[in-house]
This record gives sequence, structure tokens and C-alpha cells, in this order.
Amino acid sequence: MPSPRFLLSRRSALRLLATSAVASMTLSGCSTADTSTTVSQPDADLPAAREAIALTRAGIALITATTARHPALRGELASLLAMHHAHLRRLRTLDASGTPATPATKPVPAAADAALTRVRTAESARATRLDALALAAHSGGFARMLGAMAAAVDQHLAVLPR
Amino acid sequence: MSPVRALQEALAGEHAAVYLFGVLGGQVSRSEQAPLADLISTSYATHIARRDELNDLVSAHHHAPVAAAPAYRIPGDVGTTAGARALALRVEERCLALYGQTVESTTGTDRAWAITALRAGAVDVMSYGARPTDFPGMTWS
Repeated sequence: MPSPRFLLSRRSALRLLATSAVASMTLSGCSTADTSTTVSQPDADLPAAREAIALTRAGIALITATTARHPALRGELASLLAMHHAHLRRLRTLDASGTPATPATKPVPAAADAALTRVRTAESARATRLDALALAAHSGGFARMLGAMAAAVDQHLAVLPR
Repeated sequence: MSPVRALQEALAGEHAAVYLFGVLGGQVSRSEQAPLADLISTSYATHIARRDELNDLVSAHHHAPVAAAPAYRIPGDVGTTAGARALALRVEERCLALYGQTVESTTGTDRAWAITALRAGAVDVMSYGARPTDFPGMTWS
């Protein structure tokens, strides 16, 4: 049985609607509710933060190796590489302990399109793992950050040439 | 923010999105602007589905899902292609922020839904001209 305290009356539902984000945007010009966040990460999330750092560093290493072998792909992968560096900067604010060794990467395929496919496949797997880490995170803000990182990978993959 | 409050805010956002994409669907000519009309039609269906899913998630918490407003004021001129695209982009970006907020405020099944919506919404918003960003749906304070 639901607690009556939390049941929304029509009046309170309308009040909530009137103060909610998109509704307020459309009802009163563009004054939107604040959805900003401050990310902190409890100790319980430290292993996830470290894994996210490792995933991001692996992404940087793969793109660096790929563009070293295929300089013509630099332009196409520049935005994805910049995204990984932005992610790494944020993640390091959560775990500044040491700098792990650069992850080893497999040899880059000789054909550029095969190399690009490999980046795409690896990034897709990275997004899936970030998604799982977000789901399991103890801190809500950290979960949001990990989810946003997965979403950012999705966005960059959407514009990566096939 | 409580999980239910976050879900209710996301639901209120979906109600507004459904209304606005419905209006845009009536404004954009399918014969003259077929690609945009198709996009809007897809967005309309997507937000109806998310609205229904959020209704279910809120109900699962034994709360009454927030109702839609009778009407919403349309900001800007949606009679032009540029105006219609601008409003669609604004709605999608706002929904994205609400999905992010829902990820932050929930756990378990609710968070899984929000992460899925955040990832799909991040791609959807690009249909209306947004460029990839480093942390979609996130505003740092």
C-alpha cells in the first residue's frame, strides 16, 4: 500500500509539472530547472573509477597507434581522441593516484578501413562497459558521469565514417 | 533528489516533448520537407514510448504518475524549417539533461532505463544539428 504522503494529488501533480524542466521551458520562455551535478565518488567506487581510467587510456592508446599507422585517419579520429582526453581529465580528479603504464595495443591492421572498424568495435565495447559501471556505481553523480561518457562514445561513433 | 521525483520530472519532460513534437508534426509539410517530417515523426513515437515507460516506472513505486498539462506554450516561431529544427533540438537537449538527472537520482531498473534513454537521446539530439560533446546530458556545477 503506498504511503499517502507520497501520493500526488492532481494539484500537486500540476504544481510539479509547472516547475519541471521542459514544462517550465515551454510555459515560461526558457527558464529551465537546474539539472547540474557535482561528481564525487565514494571509496566503494574507486575500483570503477580506476577501471574507467584504464578503459579511457586504452582508447587513447588505440587511436594513437591507429593514427600513427594511418595518418590519413587523424582528422576522422581527432574528435574521439579529444573526447577521451576530456574524460581522462575528469576521471583523474576522482583518482589521482599514480600513472599506470600505457596499455599495450595489438598491431594495427594494414588496411585503413579495417583499422577504423577495429576502433569502432573497441569503442562500442568501451561504451557497453561504461554503461555497466554506471549502473553499478554507488555515487549517483559518478553514475551520471559514466553514463554520459558512454553516451559521448555513442555520439562520436554516430559521426565516424563507416 | 528522490528517485520518484527524478522519474516524475523526466515524465513531465516527456509529456511536454510529446505535445511539442505533435505540434511540430502538424507544422512541417511532409511533401515539402520529408526528411524533417520523418525525423519529427520518429521523435514523436520515441517520446510516446518513453512517456509510457516512465508511467510504468513511477507506478511501480506506488505513486501516481504526473499528468500532462492541458497545453504548453510554444517558444519561438515553428512555422519555418529553422524554427521547427531549433525547437526540436531544444526539446531533445532538455530531455537529455533530465535523463542524466534520472541516472544520478536512481538505482537498479530505474537507472538502467535512464542510462538507455541517455545514450539513445544523445544520438537522437544529433539528428537536429547538435554536435558530439564530451559529457552529453551533464552540466557541471
